[in-house]
Amino acid sequence: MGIYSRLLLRYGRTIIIIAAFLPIIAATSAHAIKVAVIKSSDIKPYSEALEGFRNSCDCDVSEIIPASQASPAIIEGIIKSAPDGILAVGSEAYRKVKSIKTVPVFYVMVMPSELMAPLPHNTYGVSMEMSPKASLAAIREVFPKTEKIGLLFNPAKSRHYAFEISELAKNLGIDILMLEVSEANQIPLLLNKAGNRIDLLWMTPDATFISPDVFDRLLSFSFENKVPIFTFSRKYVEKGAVASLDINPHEVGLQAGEIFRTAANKVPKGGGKTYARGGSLIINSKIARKMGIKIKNEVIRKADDVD
Amino acid sequence: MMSTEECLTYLRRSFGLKLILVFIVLAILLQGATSLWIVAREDRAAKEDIINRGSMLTDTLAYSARNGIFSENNEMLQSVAEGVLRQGEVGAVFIHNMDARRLFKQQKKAVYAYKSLLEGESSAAIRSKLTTAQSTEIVETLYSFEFIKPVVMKFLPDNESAIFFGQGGDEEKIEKVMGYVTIVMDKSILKRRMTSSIVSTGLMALAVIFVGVILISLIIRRVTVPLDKLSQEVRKLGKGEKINRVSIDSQDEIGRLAESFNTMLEDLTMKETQTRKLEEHLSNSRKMEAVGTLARGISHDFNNILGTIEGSVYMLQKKLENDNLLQKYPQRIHNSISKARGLIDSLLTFSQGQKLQLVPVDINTIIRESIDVMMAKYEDRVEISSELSDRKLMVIASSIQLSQVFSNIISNACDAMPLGGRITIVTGERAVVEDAQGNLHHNIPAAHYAFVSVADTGEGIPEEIKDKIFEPFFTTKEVGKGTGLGLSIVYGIVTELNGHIYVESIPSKGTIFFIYIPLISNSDLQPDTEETIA
Repeated sequence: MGIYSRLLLRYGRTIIIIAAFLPIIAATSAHAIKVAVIKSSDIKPYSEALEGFRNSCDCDVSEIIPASQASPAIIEGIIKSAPDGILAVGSEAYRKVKSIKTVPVFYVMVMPSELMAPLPHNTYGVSMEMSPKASLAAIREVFPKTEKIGLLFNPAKSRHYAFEISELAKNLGIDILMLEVSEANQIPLLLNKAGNRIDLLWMTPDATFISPDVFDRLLSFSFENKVPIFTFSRKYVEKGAVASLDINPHEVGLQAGEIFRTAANKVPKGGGKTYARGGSLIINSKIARKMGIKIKNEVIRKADDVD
Repeated sequence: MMSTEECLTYLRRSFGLKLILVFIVLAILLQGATSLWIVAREDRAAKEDIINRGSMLTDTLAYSARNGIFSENNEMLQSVAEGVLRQGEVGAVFIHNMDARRLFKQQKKAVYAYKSLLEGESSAAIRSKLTTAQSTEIVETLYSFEFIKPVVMKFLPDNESAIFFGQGGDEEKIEKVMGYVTIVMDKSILKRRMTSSIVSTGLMALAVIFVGVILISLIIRRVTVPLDKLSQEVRKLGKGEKINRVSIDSQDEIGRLAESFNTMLEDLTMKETQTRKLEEHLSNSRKMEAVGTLARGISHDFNNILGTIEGSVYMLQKKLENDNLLQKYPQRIHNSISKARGLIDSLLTFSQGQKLQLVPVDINTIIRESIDVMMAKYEDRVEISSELSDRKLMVIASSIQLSQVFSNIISNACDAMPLGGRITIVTGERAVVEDAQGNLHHNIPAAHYAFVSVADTGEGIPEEIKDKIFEPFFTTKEVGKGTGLGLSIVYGIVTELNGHIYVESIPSKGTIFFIYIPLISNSDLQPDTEETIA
């Protein structure tokens, strides 16, 4: 018997097994989805969002690059590596990748003000704003007697959002008093005008009027006029707002991962912005009591009370 | 009112005034420089103080006015401004919004209305500098200091980590100027402080000068008054007037100068006295020499004339019988001639016209003999005692002359005691030496002498005639009771023997005659005492 024959007899079975699985292996290798991640910083919300994304994207997060190190050369290198997508976590990371056109770009935890312009067709993501519907639902739940809401927003950054809220609120029989604030110093005048015309003050996320001093002024108005403040972050409820509907970073990440999975399997048909889903209701029952606002116990039980 | 010339003259003549003027000028310059330095330092400190206070008040106002500016609420702004206006130096408070539109103004009563620089032409330039919470603009005008500070609010950065999750520190917040606060600090308080400082330093300077002038005057007086006294006495000395000791009680240079002057005065007085005595002595000597020369001149002729008369009287006596009644007249003439010859002999003796043989003679022996003779004559009313030296007092003299000396002195002493008394004669050896200042006792040359003192308890010699007793023909006796030559003869003899005689007397107490005659041998001489000037 020749040497080749002996080798064939000895290793033949193994060869056959491997050969049988080769197509499967090849097929598997051909379908691994790679996502490069650029992260603004290492704060917990970002990590939670990323975790959520990982759990739902069905992809490989190939590398996580801090936004501060994501120079144009690095970005170029990422693009050349031909990932299936690039995930930007946080506004700073998004700014680094928002001009990429050749690779799908996904975003989470990005400020609404960064998403004002129409998004490119390869850009998908989840906004940090809760949907107007969810917010209004939360308001109705906590403040069922609310009929007039003063909506504090910056028209340059949140006009559409405010408009959407206004339209939706009308359907619910709630009047929205639009309080447009371009500069913080407009607030006192607006509040004076609002005066006793509103039952609730809704504070949208905008740096224009998010200042300790401005918030103190809002609180003063709130306490003096017994107008509760509804806001977007637990931070302000702790300082004196009555309630907020907070985004859940992990949930946002999950949401983003689902979008990615969908986008990865379908031909992308244009960029889109999706409101955050879920949300956590935060209330300050002590402030509510001081202001004479009665909140149902089941709501209090359901919510996260900072008191 | 003194003229300038008189003032200058007075100044030239007064050392004290010059010193005072120099002190005043120096004090004014020094105090002036010190005062200027103090005032400048006070001014600087006051300005720094105002600037520090102004900056602090402005910081406080800027912080407190945030909500008021943000709300543009006049009540809120007033309540914070009032707190600032309570401070004394604050004249006015302005609050402007970010466009420099005035939101608030309040000022205290002042001479003029304060204006804020933010409302002037330089407003834009000033605002461009005031962009952060730390910036402050301080402008000094003629009447005030103006402090301008921006009122800033810190806003969160436009990112989700800050807005949603409260991440990031103060350094990430964005400052935005919401408005401006202005505090005007009035300079009048500063000026009042400066005026007060100037007045107090000026008064202090005056006080220092005043006290200094008084002290210097006292010190100068201490120097110039004694100097004036000294100069007065020196002027008197120059004019030959009587001068007195300058009494200055101090141990310093002035005191030592006065002491030196007094010593000089005493020395001069003593020397003057010695000189006067020498001059008197010389005058007497010359007088006596002149008298002696006269006496020598006429005695011979007189003797000759008397001889002729005596011869004629002798012949006349011989011609007359013994029992002739006219015999008494030639006898009287003869007696008178004898007296005249005696007078001539005395004159000749005085004038030293008679040359006697000088041999060693013991004075003690002569005195004993003289005492014996005088005792016989006056023992009824005068007691004569003697303390003669044990040793012989050998001198070169004529025993006859020495006898005459002591006889005349004793006789004179007895005459001075008409109601009786006591005469004491002492002899001894005396070595006359110069004292420490080179003076000699009664100007007696330094040598060894036989010393004789004759003391009586008589009437004494008045001071005014003491210097004349050795003058020929000087007598205090009645006419016919004495020739006035006795002491002159004594003086003449003693002088001829190179001796010295002087007298001391106290009226109504007595008189002492002191006689010094050079001793023959010196080598074995053991003087009893040394004469020194007292």
